[in-house]
Amino acid sequence: VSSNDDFDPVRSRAIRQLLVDTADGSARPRRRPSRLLTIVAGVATAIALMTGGAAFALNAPAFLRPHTVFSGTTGPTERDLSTPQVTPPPATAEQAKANASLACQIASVQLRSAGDDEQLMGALLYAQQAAALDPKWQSLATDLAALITDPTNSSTSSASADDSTSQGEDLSARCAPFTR
Amino acid sequence: VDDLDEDALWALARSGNGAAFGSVYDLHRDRVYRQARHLISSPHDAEDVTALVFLEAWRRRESVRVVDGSVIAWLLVTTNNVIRNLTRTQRRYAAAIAALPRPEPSVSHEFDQADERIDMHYQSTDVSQGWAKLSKRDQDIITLCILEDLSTADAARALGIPAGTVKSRLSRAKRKLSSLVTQTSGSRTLEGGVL
Repeated sequence: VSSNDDFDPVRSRAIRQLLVDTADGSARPRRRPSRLLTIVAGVATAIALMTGGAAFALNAPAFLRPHTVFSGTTGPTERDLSTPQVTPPPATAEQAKANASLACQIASVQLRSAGDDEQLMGALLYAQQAAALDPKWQSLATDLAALITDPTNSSTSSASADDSTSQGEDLSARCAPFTR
Repeated sequence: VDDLDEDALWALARSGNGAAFGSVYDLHRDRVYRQARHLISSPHDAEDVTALVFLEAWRRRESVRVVDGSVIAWLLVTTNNVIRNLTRTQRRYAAAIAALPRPEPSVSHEFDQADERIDMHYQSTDVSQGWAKLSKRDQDIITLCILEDLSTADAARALGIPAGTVKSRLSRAKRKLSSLVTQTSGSRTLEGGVL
């Protein structure tokens, strides 16, 4: 490997930090899971009431239809949430909040239903975009990353009873701004 | 964490210690990256592969095989697997990879290296094409025994097969790769008269 092939130090540091955060994020104490659905359902209902989206509360899959997502460069655009895409980060705090809200909605739907890693990754992407603009969404992104990266944390896997409750509590806390 | 040997470091990392996992990354980043560069032309793609390999190590931490107190053999075999299934693995970690900083363009440096790269191009192309035609089993054997110079015993433990099987597979894999490289360079000579 020639010197030209040296690992970019900036990217290496970023990768290292990602790994450290991933491992640390999966190590938090966990408790029983039965409260997870209750908590997440509560968050989802609150979001539905906030946004006037009664259809969401009654019919979660409706949220998998195209929604408006802020892309930052072209203003609000219509995207198909069933196929998570890499998008530029939002440009304003309001757009960041909209993306964070969307991340909460997707995560809520996926955790209530069978669960889909790709949908959760889409939620993570939106949360990370929000965090890139406004650090207050970082913890939401971290929690979602922990959900995806650690298979024992996924509602789709055979997680122990203790795993999911703290995630539900975490998500509930992170999504609290949308319920006020 | 700094004073621990790798075995203890990995045990700590598995339990959810981020600093320990970071130290495992520090220990093996270069070898994983080098293995990726053997198989992928773009250094930046190889950096992404390195990240994916360690994310896989975390996701599958309960089944990572430790050989002679090290996880390097598992990481190298996983590097081959990740490259083979690059699209699928990238999708799994799309959000994480998207969050990493984009590489800086280094045009002048690229020019400096251009002559050397052109000289090496045809030879590496032949080997790469031959490599791509090898089975996963043959790729893993060559990675561990030849590229990484692991002992037969360590390779056997990493792959979970008897040492005698490693020897026979290695011999077959070398013959097959040699034959594939010869075929590739031969057909290129006939088609384009490059050599």
